[in-house]
Amino acid sequence: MIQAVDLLGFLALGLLGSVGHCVGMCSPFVLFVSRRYGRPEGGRRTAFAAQLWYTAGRIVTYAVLGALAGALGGVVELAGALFGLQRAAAVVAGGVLVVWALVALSDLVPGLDSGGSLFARVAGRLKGRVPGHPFATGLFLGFLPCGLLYSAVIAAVGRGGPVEGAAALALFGVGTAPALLSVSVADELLARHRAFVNRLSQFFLLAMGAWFLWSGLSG
Amino acid sequence: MRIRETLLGFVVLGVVLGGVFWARGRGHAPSPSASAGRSSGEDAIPDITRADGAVEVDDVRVTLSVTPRPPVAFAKSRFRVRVELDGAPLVLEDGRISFEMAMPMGEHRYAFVPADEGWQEAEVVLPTCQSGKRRWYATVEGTVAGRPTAVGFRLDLTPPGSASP
Repeated sequence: MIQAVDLLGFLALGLLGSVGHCVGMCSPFVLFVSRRYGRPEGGRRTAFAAQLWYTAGRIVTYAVLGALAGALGGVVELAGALFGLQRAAAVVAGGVLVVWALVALSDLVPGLDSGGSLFARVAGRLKGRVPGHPFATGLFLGFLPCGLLYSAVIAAVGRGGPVEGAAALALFGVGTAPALLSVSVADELLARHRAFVNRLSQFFLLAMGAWFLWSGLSG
Repeated sequence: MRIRETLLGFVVLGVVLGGVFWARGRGHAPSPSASAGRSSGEDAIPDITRADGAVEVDDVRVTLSVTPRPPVAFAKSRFRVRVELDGAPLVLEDGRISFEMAMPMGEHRYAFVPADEGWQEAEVVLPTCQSGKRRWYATVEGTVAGRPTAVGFRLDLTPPGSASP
């Protein structure tokens, strides 16, 4: 019998788990959100607002998963239903990161970033598919297959109902916010005015995007 | 201004990375006997992926078993424990099993309930990590004859839907 975790336990799971887990796995998406939705002329405020919207989107998705886990009373059924969807989410998210990073890095290859090139046209079309608001991106990326999230969903089964499950997972999502927002703050301070750091982060996005793409395809 | 921002950025980054190392070190703080096993290498920890594993603590033998073999991620697995003294079963009072892996994955704690022939069991669902890690460390805890006991085991999960290797 699974031992029940109280609501504050879910907050603690998010807080502590995100430091050791999410910072490693989800940092590329934090960097992506800042670059996609934070307008350079808007300063840090727009980037931070984008992060908050993205976080809110994730929390809503987590709450829905928690409600499902609480309602079904068993994670096996939920995991089975979500497994294919989450693999697809990993492929799409990884693909977007790769394209985004390649576009950012295309100035390293002469002629590649010109508007008429095939690469630029394909990249432009793919970029146009990215949600226009960070909240929508958060809703979608909340479905990424994440072991820590699964752990929270499994624990939410013990809460005994959809409302309790939703509240537990929402608190878990809130708990993950400080660590990821700290990554965003560090990125803003280091990359905005430092071309070298910004370039490093582009290679990081490319590598992590390829990783998510591969892991989603290979299962 | 830029230098100050860069320094501040490195401070924030340092705090984040320090937190990562702290959390990962804290994440798999082992139980006493599990610690002894791990300090002498992974092989010293009984592997229950494909066969029962047993640990002797003084004169008490703790056997852990899991079905199905190998255990599958995201599916229900039945963990059974049996504690013996000279072949006779003992009760593991307040028996529980907890799981952790190298990547911080939160708390996975289950209480054992009595089963047949001196065994105690718990129905468990374990996830895998997107990083590809599949190894979990199980710690069985409880009180045997009034003495607190904690022993460690390891197991490797099979991904759902994949053929048994």
